[in-house]
Amino acid sequence: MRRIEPWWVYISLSVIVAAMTIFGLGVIEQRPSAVASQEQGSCSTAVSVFLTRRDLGAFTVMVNRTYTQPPWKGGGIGQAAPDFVTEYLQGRLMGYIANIALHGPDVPAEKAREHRIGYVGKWPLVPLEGPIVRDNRGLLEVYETVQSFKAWRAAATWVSTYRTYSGKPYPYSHWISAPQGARDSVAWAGTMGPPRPGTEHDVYYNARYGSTVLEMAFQGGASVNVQFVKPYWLKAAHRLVSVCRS
Amino acid sequence: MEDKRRRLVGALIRALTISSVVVAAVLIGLGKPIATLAACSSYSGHSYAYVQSGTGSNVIGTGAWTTTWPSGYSIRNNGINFSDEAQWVDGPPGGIDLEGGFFSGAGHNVAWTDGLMPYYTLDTWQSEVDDAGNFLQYNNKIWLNTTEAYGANGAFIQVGQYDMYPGNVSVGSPVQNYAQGEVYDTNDYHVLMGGSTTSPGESFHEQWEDTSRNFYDWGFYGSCVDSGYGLSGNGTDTWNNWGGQNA
Repeated sequence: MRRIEPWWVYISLSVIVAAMTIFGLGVIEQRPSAVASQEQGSCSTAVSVFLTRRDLGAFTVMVNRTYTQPPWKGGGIGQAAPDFVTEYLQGRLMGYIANIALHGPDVPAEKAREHRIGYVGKWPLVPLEGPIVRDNRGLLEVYETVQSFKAWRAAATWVSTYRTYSGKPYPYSHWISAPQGARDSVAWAGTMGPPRPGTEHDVYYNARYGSTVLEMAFQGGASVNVQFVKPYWLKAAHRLVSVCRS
Repeated sequence: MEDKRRRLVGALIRALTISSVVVAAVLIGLGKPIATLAACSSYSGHSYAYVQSGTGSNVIGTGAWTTTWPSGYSIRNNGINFSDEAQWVDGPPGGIDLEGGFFSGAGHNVAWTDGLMPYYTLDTWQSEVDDAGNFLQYNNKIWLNTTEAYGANGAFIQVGQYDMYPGNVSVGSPVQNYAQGEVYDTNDYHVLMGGSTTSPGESFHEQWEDTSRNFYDWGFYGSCVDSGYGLSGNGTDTWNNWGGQNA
């Protein structure tokens, strides 16, 4: 085994210490803009920003989770991380499921479908499908996510990643216009599978307000369309902007 | 005396060399994480085990026999994590790649799914299309096929009994074949890759596809695995992945 010679280890350590002193390693100065960004992060992920059961009705929260890293894969193998990864602050996701999907008359059909493919879990198999969707025209699943970034450009990149090459988002969806007041946005509406009874309809918004991105997925029965979800969207966007401004 | 002086000079040279390297490292890479050569992914929470084979000018696709995850497998519903098994074809650097497989957890056009849902992506992580409305059966032998556009035929993804058509997607030539198990878990590190503690991992029998749409066993593969996960195989056309902790 090679013997360590302490004296030149000491010299190397001295050089490292000197370099750390010269270049300020370990001393991170928190500039005013960084402080502002952190405040923006905490306000945008506060629970008070999100829709509640008072807004949605008979729903149960099935997901309530904060993000410490952006909830996406980042770069591919050998690729540099994009700015929405390096400039990420924090985020929160709230997911709601209609109580009728938990306790309603179509639960046996949901269980049968789960049994058929082998799913076992606390929550119903989502996206919901079949009689529960056919029999209920309104919202069945709602997902609200808020992400904060250090800079608006990173937030804009994040939104832009949701666009696809083809100009048409997904096989059974179409682009819809930008939500009111958003600076950058991606939005689509359609069905979550082949358009037949029992397939959820969905409206999806992903929109930037400053360096914060509000993302909402509304899923449910045949009445779920842009007009139907507009009041919910406006309430969520208004709450985000007003809470973060106050 | 001569021997002592030679040792002293040698020691001084070593000290100067190491000091120079340290100073250069500080100047060039201040604060950057040290790359781990064996890791597939440096992004925290994102882990792979993958195999790669090819290339050839007459290769247009990758095919594999594998099985879906055991009955009851699901990721704890937290809206973030996902696990997938997939394969892809990739061309020269700078081009796009085409990936197809199945996943459970956070999706793209599907906010969240507890089921095993087919998907494809273009360009690694962008333009993911989840095959909403279709679920795979658990613990079931399936055929995966990812084929780029060739001639008059568009690109083609087959995941079990489901087909998807990404359009006129060509990855360029020569084409390389890849297959992977992948997890993304930002907080818990509980996501199992491709199995459970009682039935760990999946076995893949890999094939490549020629321009006449014939399939042939891979002749060899290179591999990569992130810490915490495992990979083994025969080095030619069959490999297994496993890993993670029980949630």
